[in-house]
Amino acid sequence: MTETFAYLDEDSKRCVRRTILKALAIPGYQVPFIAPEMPIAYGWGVGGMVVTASLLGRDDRLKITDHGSDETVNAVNIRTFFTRTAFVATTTLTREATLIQVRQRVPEATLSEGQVVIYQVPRPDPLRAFVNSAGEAARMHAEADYGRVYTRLFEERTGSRSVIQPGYDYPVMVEGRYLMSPSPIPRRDNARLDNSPAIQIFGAARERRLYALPPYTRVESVAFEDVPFDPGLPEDGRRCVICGCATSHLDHLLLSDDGTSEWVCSDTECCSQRSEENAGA
Amino acid sequence: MYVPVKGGETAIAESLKALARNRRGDPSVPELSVTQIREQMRGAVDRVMTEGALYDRDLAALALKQAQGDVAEATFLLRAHRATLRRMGHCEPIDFLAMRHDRHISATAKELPGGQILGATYDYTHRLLDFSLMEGAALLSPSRAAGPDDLGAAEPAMVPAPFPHYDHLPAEKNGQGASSGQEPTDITRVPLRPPYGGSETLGHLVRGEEGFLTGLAYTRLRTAGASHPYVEDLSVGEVEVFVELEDIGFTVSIGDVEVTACRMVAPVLDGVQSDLSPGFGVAFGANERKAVAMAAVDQAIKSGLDAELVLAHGDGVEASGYVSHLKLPHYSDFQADLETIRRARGGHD
Amino acid sequence: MLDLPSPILTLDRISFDGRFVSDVALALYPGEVLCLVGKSGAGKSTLLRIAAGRLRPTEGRVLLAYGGEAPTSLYDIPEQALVTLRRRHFGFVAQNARDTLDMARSAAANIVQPLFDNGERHFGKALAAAQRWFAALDLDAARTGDLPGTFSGGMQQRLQIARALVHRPRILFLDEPTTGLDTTAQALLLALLSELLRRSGIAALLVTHDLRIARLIAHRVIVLDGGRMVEEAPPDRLIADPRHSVARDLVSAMI
Repeated sequence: MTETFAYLDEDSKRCVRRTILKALAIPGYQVPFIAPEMPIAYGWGVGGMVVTASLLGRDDRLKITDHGSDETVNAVNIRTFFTRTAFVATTTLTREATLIQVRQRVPEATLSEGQVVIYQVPRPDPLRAFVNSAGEAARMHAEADYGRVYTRLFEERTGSRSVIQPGYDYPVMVEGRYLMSPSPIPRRDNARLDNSPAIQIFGAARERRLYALPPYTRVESVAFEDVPFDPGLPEDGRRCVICGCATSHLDHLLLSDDGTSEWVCSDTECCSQRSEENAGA
Repeated sequence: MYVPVKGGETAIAESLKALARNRRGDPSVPELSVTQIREQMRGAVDRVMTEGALYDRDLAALALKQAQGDVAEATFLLRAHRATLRRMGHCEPIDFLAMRHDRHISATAKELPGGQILGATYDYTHRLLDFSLMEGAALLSPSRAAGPDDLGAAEPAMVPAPFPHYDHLPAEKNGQGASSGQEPTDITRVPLRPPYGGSETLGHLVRGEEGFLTGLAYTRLRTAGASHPYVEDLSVGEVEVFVELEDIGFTVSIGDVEVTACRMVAPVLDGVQSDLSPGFGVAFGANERKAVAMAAVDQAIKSGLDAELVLAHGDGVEASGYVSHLKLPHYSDFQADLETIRRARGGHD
Repeated sequence: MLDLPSPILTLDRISFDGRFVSDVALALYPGEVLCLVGKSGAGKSTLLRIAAGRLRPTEGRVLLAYGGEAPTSLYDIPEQALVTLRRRHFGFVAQNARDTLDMARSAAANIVQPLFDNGERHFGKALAAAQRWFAALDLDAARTGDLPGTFSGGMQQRLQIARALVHRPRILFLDEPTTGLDTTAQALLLALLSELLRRSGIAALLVTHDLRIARLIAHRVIVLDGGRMVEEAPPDRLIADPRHSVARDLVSAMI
């Protein structure tokens, strides 16, 4: 096992931190960066881990979730990595955490100033859904040439064979300037990126891109002026079988071997908190 | 010395000697046994069996030994050996639902019938060199090597509850392979020609080179407009192989093989016709990269990727053969090209 | 010439690779429909692409001037600025609809894309524009959501024209827009086009090998041969009295 605190050497971490500063200075802009190799496979959260490793100090409290849960194998694996390499204190409580690395969800608990949320990003450039050339995508960002994105939205509303916008990784506009991937979070989580008191950093190691949102940045889901964004909330009356919540994001859970299924909260922290409140009441 | 024109016989004889010396390495180091390779180089053995299209761990291990661990070369050796074997017939469609799992996971479901079984996987290892293995290798005394008990006895393979995993997926789209219910095509006897049938595609993909398929799957993932596939079911375990004996009209079990199977689904978002598009991948032994990549490519072919691009270029033995043929003497055609270039340039200069 | 307004587009001694286009100078005036005619290989399409900001000439300049502003030399500004300028001020109709339409995108989406490219972010306005253009070009209002490939050749050309005009460009470029259509579809399309251009006052530069088309739509015709301008005249005069041998061949081809 390496002797270096949080695995990476100090020069690499400093280099990543410089990239983070640049990213914070140009909210939503994808800054190219050299992601140092990590002993975890690309696609498994290396981008987030590189950022976490670069920011982690001895006094930090780290929270790691995947799909809203602190207990999934991937979350446990990444947390173990940092407790092994940085001996850092971890927590499952959002309010106690200074660094929160997430995959596929934004924490549902209230975030506060001074906290940093780190997202793992597989596809940092939303324009790559439209063009295959990295050069052309860069030009489009430089020119804020986002007409094609709105054409697709238009087609979704009018076409008889239209594509449907995905229910996750739905692109956002940052401060009215840069089109940005919110990472593969559900559409409804997009609202949680907006005007957040926390710093939000998005790391995509395989694609060598990093971008960020400083606190209180204006983040809007891509939509027409006259048609409000649809956060895609379910309408089938589903409730969490554990805490009974009908408003939080719910995952489909196969409960028994005979195939009957139920819904449970994706955010385990908020779910257990609600369960405790229910029990106390 | 590379002697393309004359003296070829001596050159080849010397080359073979050099190759044999390289293979053996330092004679003061004990020779590797085929059994050791079979037991301790499982990843390579399984890959060679899959691409070599012959389920025989000992022969795959032998091929690896002979090829100095070069997987492509070992695959070639096994394929060449396979070609000498008599074809007895084909087995009945494998029932993957009856698999005895050593590993069983789904990325699309939070839970699985029988539970998610993580099993042996590199997925959640930290890729740090384990220097304790270095010590083990240095100490050649068998008494110091870890026995099977130290590593923990293997758990008995678990049997999960049967299908369906999902109650909300269109079942007919959820099939396993493409070959059930029809006579399979033996791709070693039927030349590749469009249109490409289901079992033909499956056969070529199974024998397809792992790196090629992985690269193709990765290209697809990064292509604009292509949908993102999901691993719906990944299983490693043993399945039973049945053969119908036509003479007596019985179907009998001829044994178990270890396989890795992957079922993939990709959403097709197209208005009211939105649906899930399936893909299937399978490999001998424990070989998840191959199974997942193959499933992704199979799904891509089913939703429009040029089948010929994949099937005509995916065979590692063919590909490395043709690419390495560039080393053959080509001076006559090259000379002709050179003349043409000279003439063309002369016309303008 | 003194009583004419200043040209909106000026081609200043344009050559391309010496042979394809050679030392062509011409001007396009606001509201004018100018036809480039000639036989195959005369350099018409090359010249059109140069004029439309799509192909850098090996010699010469292309100047765009409007609204009393100093003219912009298309190939002397950064590539990015040229892309923006083209999108804002030009419309292009190709012989083959596949060259300008996105065949995987609905007909209506194809028509309104230039609006979004130019900053429109209002769904209602874009939808109204698509419907208006469908009506203006006699397209079936029920088919806005269909893919372009499901329309006939003539209808695909109409989609191209709508897409090329929806953002109110200053100049429309057309490259053999009716080639490949049957004569009825040709006549209908030209009548629509001529009416649209007359009402909008948009200047147009049109390439054709067919003088009948030039007669129906053009104010002025330029005859090209071997990459050079060999004759220039109003269509009626050219047809009545062709002077260059190529012009005479084109006139006899009309019958």
